Amino acid sequence: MQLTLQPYENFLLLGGVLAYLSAMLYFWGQLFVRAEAASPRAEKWRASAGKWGRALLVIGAVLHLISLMGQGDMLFAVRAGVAGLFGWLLVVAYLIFGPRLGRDSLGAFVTPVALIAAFYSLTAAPLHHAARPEILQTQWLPVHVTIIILAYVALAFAFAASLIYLIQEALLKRKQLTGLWQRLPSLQVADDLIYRATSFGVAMLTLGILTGLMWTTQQPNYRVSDDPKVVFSILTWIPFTLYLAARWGLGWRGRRTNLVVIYGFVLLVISFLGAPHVLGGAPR
Amino acid sequence: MQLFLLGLSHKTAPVEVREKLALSSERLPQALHFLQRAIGVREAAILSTCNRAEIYAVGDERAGARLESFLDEFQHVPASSLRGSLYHGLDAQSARHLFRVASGIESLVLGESEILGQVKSAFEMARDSGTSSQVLDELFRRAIACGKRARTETAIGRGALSVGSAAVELARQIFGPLQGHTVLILGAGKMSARTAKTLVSSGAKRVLVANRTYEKAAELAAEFDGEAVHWDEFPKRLAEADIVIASTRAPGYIVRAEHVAQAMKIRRHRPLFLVDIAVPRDIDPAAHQLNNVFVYDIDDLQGVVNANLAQRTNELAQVETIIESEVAGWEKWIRARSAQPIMAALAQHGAQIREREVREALAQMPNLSEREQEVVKALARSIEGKLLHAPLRHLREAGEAGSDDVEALRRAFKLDEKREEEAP
Repeated sequence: MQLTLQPYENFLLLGGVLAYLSAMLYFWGQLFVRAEAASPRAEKWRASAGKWGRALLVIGAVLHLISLMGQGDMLFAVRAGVAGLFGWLLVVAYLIFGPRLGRDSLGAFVTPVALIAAFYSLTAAPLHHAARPEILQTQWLPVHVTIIILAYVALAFAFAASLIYLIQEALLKRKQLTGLWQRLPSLQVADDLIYRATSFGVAMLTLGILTGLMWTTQQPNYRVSDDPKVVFSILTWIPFTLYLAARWGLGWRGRRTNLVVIYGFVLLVISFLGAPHVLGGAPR
Repeated sequence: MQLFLLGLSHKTAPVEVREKLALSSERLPQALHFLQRAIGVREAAILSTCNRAEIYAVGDERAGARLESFLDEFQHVPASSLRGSLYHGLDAQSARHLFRVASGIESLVLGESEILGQVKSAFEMARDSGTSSQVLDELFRRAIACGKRARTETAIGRGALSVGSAAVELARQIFGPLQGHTVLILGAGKMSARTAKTLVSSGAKRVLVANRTYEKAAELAAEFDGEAVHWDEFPKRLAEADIVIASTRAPGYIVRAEHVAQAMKIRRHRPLFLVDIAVPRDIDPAAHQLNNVFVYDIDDLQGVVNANLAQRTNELAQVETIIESEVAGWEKWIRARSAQPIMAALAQHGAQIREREVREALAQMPNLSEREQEVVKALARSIEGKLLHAPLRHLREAGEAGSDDVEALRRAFKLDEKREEEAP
């Protein structure tokens, strides 16, 4: 489905980015501003800040969706398009699952990731003029990319929950027990979320890499070992799989294993933005 | 008609004095009736808790003066022996005191909520005994509303104020809901029993108890439907527990860091929360450094309690603002009430004049049809209504404002003389 919105597309996306930005500020406000105040008035203010944050996310997601629809299936072929799609899906996933997981505090950590992704897609070159290599003209592409994006969304949740875990753990270890700690989910809730999101993320990532390999290896004159993108994607797969292995096999959990998830996500972002692709301009 | 308060509390009297004046709920109705019959108050309510005994009474000055003799005549404690412990209140003062009590800011534990229930039951007791009517009904209704407002509009009742509930607050931050979690108690003392009780009532499922004398452990375990553990077995059982409460009298650490490290391996590093309420301490604080292990001693928990208390104290000014607005509302109601008999008399005065004049007019015109008679009656009613509308409204407003106009209007309409004329 493609709308003809060309001149307005970037304005819609800009509106979406601004809505995400203000949503993030609301989420940060309700979490960090005057964190020690416990009066019902402060609680009320926090509740309404959270509501505003979520409402702005909805508005942003709608604007963002319209701008994405304007780009058609170029979305799947260009890095900026994939980033935009990822940011949008992350917001939608948060709006669906967020209320059940750690509430607005999770929003304070998920929204910045979505914001950065959407902003990146905004600053990238206009998609319409991008040349689309022949190799990417396959029905495999949207499937492969969607799977990878779902993996990224799950891992972004794991990343956000890991940050929450680290903060909560540090507060409990330092015995600093006013304000903030009561607004973050408990260690166990955060830990469960990290575990579940990472499991799903790793499963999707594996599937995504396999579909990618299946399709690229069918190409003539293509050698996997020559493609840094493939090398990078296997690299990003390692830390998350290590996390799962440590948890299943060794029964490790806690601060250090959750740090691995954070490193893993940072590595993932770097490889996504930084790794060149021999196929030229393609996401994977 | 005035509102009297006579009472004493933990602030003015030691427990030896308070216990003498405590009234069981069986004797309360008797006491209330005694106040009405022997002391001569019109309405009475008694708030009797372990921290306070207070009489709220409505009556004239003579009854107010006799209030103290209730202590002597009913409770056989001469008021003279309580000098310095008793406090008195009159009208708005009494109301303010009850509002403060209901808000929890007069309580031993600042902002505790039990007192609000006690105020409610004191009110119900007075109602059931028939000693509370218009004035006390209104007073207690407003006191309960004030107590609720204080707790919903301020944070006066927020945050744990006991070591036990602080431990629960922390446990929730680590585990989330406590359902399905296991508590291990080391040392079957009173303190650990109480803390465990708080945890169990917050959802903790299984309780293990270890004690040097096994019998004591079994005794406490039975209380929680739990399991008693032999003393030398507890390090092995440590892995089963999510929350450990230690309060033995041992001179040194009984839970060593190696014990905890061992347990953590077995429990696959799921978080472990150790609460050490013993002095000297039972748990090696070095265990706190282990991954996912959280050791809190009595000072840490007291720190949480102190922070919460400071937070509640911060809310005091706001609670007092609420109380003052409620007191102002009460005073307005009382004053408006003082104008009511005069308003009633004025309305009655008008109705009597109308009826008399209509009767005389109709007597002079015997041939009027039914409809014409109605017109005359309506005319009279309309004149009466329009004439009295403004003074009645002014009376109500003057009453609420406590202005002298009430008295002026009474004289203007010669309402007292009228009443005397008609009451032979």
